[in-house]
Amino acid sequence: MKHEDEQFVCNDMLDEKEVGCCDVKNGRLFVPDGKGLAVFLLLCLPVSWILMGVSLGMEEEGRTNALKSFLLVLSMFVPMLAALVTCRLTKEGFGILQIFPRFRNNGKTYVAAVLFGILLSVADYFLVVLIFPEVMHFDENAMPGMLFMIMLLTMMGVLQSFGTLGEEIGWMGYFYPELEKRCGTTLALIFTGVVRALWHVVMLFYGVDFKVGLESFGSLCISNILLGSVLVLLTKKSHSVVPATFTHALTNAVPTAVMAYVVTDDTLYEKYATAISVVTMIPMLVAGLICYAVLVRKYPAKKDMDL
Amino acid sequence: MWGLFYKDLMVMRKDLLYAALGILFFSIPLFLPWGKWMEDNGGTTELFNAQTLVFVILPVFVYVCIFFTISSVTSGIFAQDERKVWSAYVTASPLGRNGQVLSKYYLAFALTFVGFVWGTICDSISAVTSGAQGSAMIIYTVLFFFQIFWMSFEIPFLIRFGQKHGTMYKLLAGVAVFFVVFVYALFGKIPQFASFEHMLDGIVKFMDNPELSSTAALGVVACLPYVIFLMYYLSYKLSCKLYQKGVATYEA
Repeated sequence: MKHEDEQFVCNDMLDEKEVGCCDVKNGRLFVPDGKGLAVFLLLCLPVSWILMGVSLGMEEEGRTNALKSFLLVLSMFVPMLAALVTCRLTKEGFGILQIFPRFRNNGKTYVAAVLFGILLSVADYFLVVLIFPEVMHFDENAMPGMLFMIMLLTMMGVLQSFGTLGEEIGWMGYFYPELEKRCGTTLALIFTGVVRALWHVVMLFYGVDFKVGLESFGSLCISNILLGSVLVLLTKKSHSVVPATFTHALTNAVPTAVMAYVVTDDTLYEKYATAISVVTMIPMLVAGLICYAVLVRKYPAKKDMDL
Repeated sequence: MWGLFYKDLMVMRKDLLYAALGILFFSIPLFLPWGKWMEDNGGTTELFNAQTLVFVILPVFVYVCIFFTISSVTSGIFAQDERKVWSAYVTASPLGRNGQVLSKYYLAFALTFVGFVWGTICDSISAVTSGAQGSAMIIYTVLFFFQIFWMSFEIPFLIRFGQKHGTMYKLLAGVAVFFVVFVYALFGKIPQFASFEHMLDGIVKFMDNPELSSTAALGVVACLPYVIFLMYYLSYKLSCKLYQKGVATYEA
C-alpha cells in the first residue's frame, strides 16, 4: 500500500516536471538521460573482466591460488562500486540503491527469498532424478545427510552473502531500475539478464563453472533473465536488495549440498546432456514466469503504464 | 527503530572507533608473510611445528581477541540509555519498549556480524599475504555463533539488572559455573579428558565412529546455528518482558 502511495507521488511529480522520476524518500529529483547507465556499464564490465581475466589466467599453485580466489571474489564487488561511483557522478544519491534491509512488514519476503533460493537449487536435481533415474540417483542413505547439509549451507550461504550483495547492489539496485524507467519491465529484464551473462563472459571463456561455447552463453542468458524476474520481484516487494542477495547466494551455495549425494552415470549423462539441461531449466522457468506475471500485474513500470 | 540504531551508533562512535583500531591492530599478524619466512628458516622452530603455530594457533588467538573486543563494545551499548527519563520517553514513543530492546539486539548482532565479515576479509587477505594453507573460516564462524549464544544469555541480565549490576550477576553466574566445573575436575571421574591430546583423540573418534555415523555429527553441526538464533530471538522476547523491571533499578 505504502509502495503504491509512493508511486502516485512519483507520478504526480513526473506530470508536473516532465523530466523523470523522483526519489521520494530523499526528495531529490534526477534526470534519467541515460548517461548513468553508460557510466555504470563502462565502469563495471571492463574492470570486472580484467579482474576475472587476471585471476583465471593464473596458474593454480600455492599462494597464487589464494590470490586467484581473492581477485575472483573482488570482481563480485565491482558492480557495487560501479553503482556507487555512478550515483556519485550523476548526483542521484545512494538512496536509490536500496542497500539497507527493511525488515518491518517484510518478514515474509525474506523467508520467501531464502525458500526460493533453496527450492531453485534443489528442484532441478530432484526433477532430473525423477525423469532420468538411470542417469542420476540419490545415494542410498542420502536423505537425512542431505537435509542437514542443505540446512548448514543455507545458513552459511546467508551469512556469507555479502559477495552477492556486491553484485545485486549493482544489478538490482542500479542497473535494472534505471533500465526499467526507459524500456519497461519486459525489456529491462531481458537486457539485465543478457548484460549479467556478458559480465560472466570471462568465466565462460575459461570454462569456470560453465562450459565453453555459445550454447552455454545462451543458457546463461536465459537463466539470468528468469532468475532476474525472481530477484526483481523480491527487491520491489521489500524495497531492498537484501532478499535478492539471499536468493542469489543460496542458488550459488546450496547445490553443493545436493551434488554431494547424487550418483551420476557419466556415460549416460553425456548421452542425455541436452535433455537434462532442458529439464534443469524447468524450475527456474516456472519460478521466473510466475514472478514475471506478478511483476507486470502488481508492480508495472511507469513506461508500461504510459503504453 | 533504525533511528534508535543510528542514535546508538552516533553516541558510541568513539568506542566504535577505538574498537575498530584495536581490531585492526590485532589483525596485523595475520597479514605478515609467515609463509616466506618459514621457507627461509626450514619450516620448524624448537617449540612447535611452525605451520601449526602460524596457521592454527595464531588465527585462533587473533580471532578470539577480535571477538573479545567486539564483545566488550556490545556489553556497553546498554549503559548510555540507563536513565529513567530516557526510558519514559522511549516507552511513550510509538516504538515502545519493544522497539528500544529490538534496536539493541539489532546493534549487538550487527557488531558481531561485522566481526564475522572482518574475519572473512582477513582470511582472504592472509591467504594471499601469509600463504596460509587452508582457511580459518571454521574458527571465526564458531566464534561468531559463540558470541551470539553468549549474548542471548548476557543481554537479559544487562536489561534486568542494568549494566553495572548485570555484569556483576553475570560474573557471579560465570564464577559459579567455573566453581562447579573446577570441583568436578578435582574430584569427579574424568579419565577421557586426561590430556588435551587425549581429548582431541576422543573428538576424532567420535566424528569417525561408523556406528554413530557422521550424519548425526552433521545433524548437530547443522542444527546448532538455528538453535542459537532461536535462543537469541527468545532472549529478545524475554528482554522485552524484563525491560520495565530493569528501568525500576536505574538510579536516575
